[in-house]
Amino acid sequence: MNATTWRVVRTLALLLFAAFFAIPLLAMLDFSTRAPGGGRTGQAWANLVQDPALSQAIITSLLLAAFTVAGMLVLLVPTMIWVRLRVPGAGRLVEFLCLLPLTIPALVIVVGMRNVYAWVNYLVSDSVLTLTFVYVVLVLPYSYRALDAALSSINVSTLAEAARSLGAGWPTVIVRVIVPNIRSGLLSAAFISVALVLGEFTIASLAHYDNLQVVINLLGKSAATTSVAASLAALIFASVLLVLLSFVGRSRRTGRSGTSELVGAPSPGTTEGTT
Amino acid sequence: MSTSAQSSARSSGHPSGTDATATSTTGGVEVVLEQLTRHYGHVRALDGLDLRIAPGELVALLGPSGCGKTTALRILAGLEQATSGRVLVGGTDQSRVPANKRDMGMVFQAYSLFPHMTVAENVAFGLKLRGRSRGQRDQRATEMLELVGLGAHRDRYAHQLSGGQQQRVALARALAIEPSVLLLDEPLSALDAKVRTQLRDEIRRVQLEVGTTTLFVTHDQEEALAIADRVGVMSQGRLDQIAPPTELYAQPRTRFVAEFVGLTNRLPARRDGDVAVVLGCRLPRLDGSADGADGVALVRPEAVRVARLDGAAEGAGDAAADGAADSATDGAGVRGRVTSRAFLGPVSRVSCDLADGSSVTAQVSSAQAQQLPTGEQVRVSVEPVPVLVVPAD
Amino acid sequence: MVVGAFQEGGSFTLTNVEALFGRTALAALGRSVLLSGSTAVIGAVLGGFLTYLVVTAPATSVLRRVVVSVCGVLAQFGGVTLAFAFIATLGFSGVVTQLLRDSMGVDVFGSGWLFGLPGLILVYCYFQIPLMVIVFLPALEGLRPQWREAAVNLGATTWQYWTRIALPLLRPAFLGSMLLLFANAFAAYATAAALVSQGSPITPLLIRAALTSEIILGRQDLAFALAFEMIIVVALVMAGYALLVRRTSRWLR
Repeated sequence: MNATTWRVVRTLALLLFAAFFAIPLLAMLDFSTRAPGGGRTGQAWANLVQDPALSQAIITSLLLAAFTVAGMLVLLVPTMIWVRLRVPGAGRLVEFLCLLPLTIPALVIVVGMRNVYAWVNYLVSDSVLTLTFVYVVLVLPYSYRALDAALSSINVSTLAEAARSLGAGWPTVIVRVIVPNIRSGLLSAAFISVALVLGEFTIASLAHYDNLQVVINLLGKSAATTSVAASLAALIFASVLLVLLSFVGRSRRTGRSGTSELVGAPSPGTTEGTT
Repeated sequence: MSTSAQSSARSSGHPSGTDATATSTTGGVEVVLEQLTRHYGHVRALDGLDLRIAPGELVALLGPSGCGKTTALRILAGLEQATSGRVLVGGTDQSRVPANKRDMGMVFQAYSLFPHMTVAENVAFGLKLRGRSRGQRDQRATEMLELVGLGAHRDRYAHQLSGGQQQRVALARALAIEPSVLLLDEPLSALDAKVRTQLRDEIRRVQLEVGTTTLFVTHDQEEALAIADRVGVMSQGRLDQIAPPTELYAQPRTRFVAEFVGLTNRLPARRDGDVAVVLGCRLPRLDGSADGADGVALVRPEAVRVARLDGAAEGAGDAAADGAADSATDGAGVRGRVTSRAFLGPVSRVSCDLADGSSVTAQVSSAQAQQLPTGEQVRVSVEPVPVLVVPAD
Repeated sequence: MVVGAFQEGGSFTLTNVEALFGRTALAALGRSVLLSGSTAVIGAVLGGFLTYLVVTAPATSVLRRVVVSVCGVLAQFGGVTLAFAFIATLGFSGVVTQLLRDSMGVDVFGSGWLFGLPGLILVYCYFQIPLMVIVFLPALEGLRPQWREAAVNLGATTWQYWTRIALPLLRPAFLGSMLLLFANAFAAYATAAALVSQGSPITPLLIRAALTSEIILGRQDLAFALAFEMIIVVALVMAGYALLVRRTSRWLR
């Protein structure tokens, strides 16, 4: 296959994929702007901000997303750094624990959750935000990978030792030295979590909590167009977020590899005289 | 420093073309790069490179990153296309020959072994592509692995080997196909210092043994000077100078070469007829020196002499171990004060501040450096070796 | 929950476990495996191809950024909205259905295949392919350019490079990703729940039926047993995944 043929095949294939993924979304757009008597209307999209139940659900889901991200970071970042520095042998265990939720179907989590939640609800009040606990567990596999990749790309122990030798305490080491260096990893872990929480339906629905997807689902029965507009909006919001993230992450990564190259190359004058 | 390293590399290797019983000596072919240019948008990676490598010769291309040396090698390998210019191997134009038909063995910087194959399978891969029988492949792979001293590791995988061993396998793999040209793209840069020196000498030994024409690309001057028959210094896509290592070191033709290869002092020089006057000493001027009355002389540390003012002991450069040279510079030189010493084993570097505020570094024997403590008042002069004088900034 | 699987009304029993081998449960499991298996294979092949198309674009290209980001979102996309999107596309009055009916007289809706197993397979591909891109991308990125150059330098054609070097190298990662896709489809619930309103063709829906059943008391314990069955299947699959990934990570490090 020569270069031109390949370019044509490549473009065609990309277009086919684009069509497969775009057409259902366009169908959603088409449906959400349909007026009852024919023609077009933006009413469904206007409802997004007007419908009280929906805007409440949007706020709930955004709050859930924020709490989940915070919980995940607080739980995972110090643990992973600690494991890398002090007990590297436990790395496999942590990895296994973090990937575990991936192996357990969400539905199964709900079934198992019922018992635990009876206690949680007894101790804390029965708020939709208690879902945070489940979601933190749910996002672990994805955020673990993002953070693991970021931590692998920097030399954690050297950074920590350098900071310690300059008199930094452990909290300072983590917050001021390591975290700024894995910012892209933190961001991608956070955004994957946001995408997941905004799209989560199964657990909330089966546990009888109203998050965005549950309300969209309910709306689907009464105000179908608004429901479709809402989910399309959620998709677009998350996509834009991730595209923005990719720019943040990339620019930082290239910057770093550039420096390490400079550091790695011995400067010409210094090698002389070693024989 | 480099002179000794270089001679040891020479003596450890066999004379070209002899004692190569285990492998067929191809004798090598001539490689010519003709007016090669390569543009990436507005960047000129190569800007009219001319290079001729004699059959069986090992030429090292030396230069800072971005000077175009790797581009030249990759164009020779066919992995990149030149914007213009020709590549001739054994007299035939290879410019339009695809990379997989070029018959060149290449060793990459690092991590080029196929990780899902054993060492022996890696080495035999090129032969498999050429349709050799299993027996031939096995025999050749064993032969090549013996050549690089890894016969016992044939069934290991790449991740079970050290960096140095991986590069040896890569060398064996490149040589297994009996290439017309061997290309080495900074093969030692990912290794640590000791392994680097060992493998460097090893590569030279193997290259002399099989006699393959070789192009070696590196940013490490010590490596280039130690291994190559001739070293080409590149900057900005061009060849500044190409010469045997000793000549390159002693007689740099450009300021870039003088400063890139070895340590260099920059000392004010005044022209007096055919000689340059540096620190009150009269020195022959090298070809390529600037014409103006005043300039800057590029002086090697080992050509700088440092003597105590009280005359108790005199430190002189390596080149002036014999007393005959002393008289030539008697009375010349300027006053200075020792500011620091660095012990490098057999030799030491002594830095001095001069009366005019400039500073100069001398390389003296460590025994002599003992007599020159920091703060000592000294007389600094220069050996009468030829120097390159460049225009002052 | 595991305890629940062996309980009925508080006392130990194997009834629930026996029910797993009943005709309904086995048929549902069979269909679940068929659905997960077929979408894993289709998703892996198409997703792998898409990943390759993306990887051959420069890392900084807009195409790559957009595809990877959108895939990140679509891989999490599912549930009622996804089901609805396909109903709006290929349902009886869907956009594409009407377009084809009007312009060419072709009826793609047919007898409502969208609401059965074939429909589920198509709809699942919508998140399986993006998931493949996400999990397979690191492996393809780990394919070092030196390997290609070394192979070419030793005389390999493009075809030989792919068959002798690239594909053998990627095989564990590819199979591993495929297993992950299998687990993902196996565990997916919301989409199927929304698309299939009647009957319980696959295990997750059977669990729903057991959980929400108000007719027979004590069916919750059957749900536990079914959930336990799912865990076992998924755990087996994920163990295989972990094994394969460990092998590649050693190679592609």
